[in-house]
Amino acid sequence: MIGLALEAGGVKGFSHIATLKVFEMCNAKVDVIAGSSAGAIVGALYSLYGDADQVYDEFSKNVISFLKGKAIKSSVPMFEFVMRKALITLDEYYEFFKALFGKTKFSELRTKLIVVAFDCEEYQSVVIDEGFIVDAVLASCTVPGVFEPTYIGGSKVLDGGVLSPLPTEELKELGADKIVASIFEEEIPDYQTQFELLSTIDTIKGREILEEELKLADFVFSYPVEVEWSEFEKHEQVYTDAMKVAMDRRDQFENFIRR
Amino acid sequence: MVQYLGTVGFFKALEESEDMNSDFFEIHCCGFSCIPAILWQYDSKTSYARVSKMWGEAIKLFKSVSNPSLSRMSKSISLLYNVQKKIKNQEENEKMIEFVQKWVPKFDIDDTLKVKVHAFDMSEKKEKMLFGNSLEVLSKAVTYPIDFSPIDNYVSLAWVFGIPEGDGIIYIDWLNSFTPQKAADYLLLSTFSRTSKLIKDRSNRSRFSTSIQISDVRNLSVISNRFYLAGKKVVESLAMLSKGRR
Repeated sequence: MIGLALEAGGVKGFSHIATLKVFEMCNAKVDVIAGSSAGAIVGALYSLYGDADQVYDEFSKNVISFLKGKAIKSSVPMFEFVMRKALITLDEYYEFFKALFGKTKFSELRTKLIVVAFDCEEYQSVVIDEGFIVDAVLASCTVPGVFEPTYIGGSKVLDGGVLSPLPTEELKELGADKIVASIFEEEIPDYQTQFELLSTIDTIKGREILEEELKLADFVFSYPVEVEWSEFEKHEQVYTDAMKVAMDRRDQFENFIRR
Repeated sequence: MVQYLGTVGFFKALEESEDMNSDFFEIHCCGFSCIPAILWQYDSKTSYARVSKMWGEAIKLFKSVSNPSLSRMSKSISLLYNVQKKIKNQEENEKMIEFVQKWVPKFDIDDTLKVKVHAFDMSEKKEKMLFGNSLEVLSKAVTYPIDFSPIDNYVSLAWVFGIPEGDGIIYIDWLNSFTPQKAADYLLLSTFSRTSKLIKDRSNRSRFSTSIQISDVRNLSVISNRFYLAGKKVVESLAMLSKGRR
């Protein structure tokens, strides 16, 4: 069973579409996709359409439409949100996911999908693989400190990237014997203030968790992406750059998959 | 948290073990637990008395981490953002350095000692063991980011990976009810959950681990007794492993 794990990362998630393109070019079939946050969006779209180009078209079309006059239309550093007294409500955000997934259920997908969210009452990751896609993906994308949390099965949940930025462990538990990971190379941000120091430390923790998750991967597509997670207006550039990297890895991937 | 000064109780358990002099044991510590560890290394007979004397002052000086409350920390985070406090503001660091100088004897920590002090190097983004002057080593190991700036680019490992790796692990499982509401609350919840996961991962990789549950303990004898009892379990388990290896 081939499992594909897609990392959380906002607009950087457009890179995952390049990974899916290479799968298609090599006639490699994914048996199960696991994603957190943006990884869940791309994974869900591919599970729904089974076509990387269509994934790009749908995701891109909806991002452009959503950016028109909405709350997170530009590069706003994470910590800018901290001073908001109220978190962004999910009403507007929900419309974005509804436009992408409508009333599709997990049971209707072409490819098995698992979406990971963070249960903020139990302090652990939770796997969602049933019910409406829109609810699962929305839950997985509720960035802490930016959006208000949502509820799944009675549990209050947040972004899956908190504890499972790259859900390889969840794939392993599901029985995947070959795991392909799609990740981003990120610079750990520098700090000038005490607050930025805390933010940098949090990023370091996230990278440490990712390193552990990566140990379970058998093949890795790693994309150098130099944009903030919220710079969605740069999605086309992210995808174009990722395609170049993915194409460089194509032969190695083909060898790996035919082994 | 300051309650890690109670690890002085663990060292009592260690001393009672026949295997304590064995080369098999090394003590790897981070954050506040390094203070009793270093005092024990310096003079095991006086370490409890020294910790006992510093306890009251430590509770007052390290307020944010002496009775940790997520809602209070959340307010501190919002405040830090509001004032945009620069890293180079060393005034608070001086208070902490003075505390270390007042309570810890100056001696050389080299790699032959049983106690190994861990801290996180922010410039290289790596966990490191620190050697050299005990006062400098402890200042770097204790400094925590919500109240202090890094010292020579070091911060407490407790605030990054939670604990060092080891065959046996003891840590405090801090019970705190918290209902997040604001953005900063959720950021705090998320970053502490990451630390908890990293501690859990390191515990899973160890041969034996145990936790001490704490909600609001401000009495050193109570907390050190808990470390003593937990320490006995860890020491016994590791001694058995040690014998198995020989």
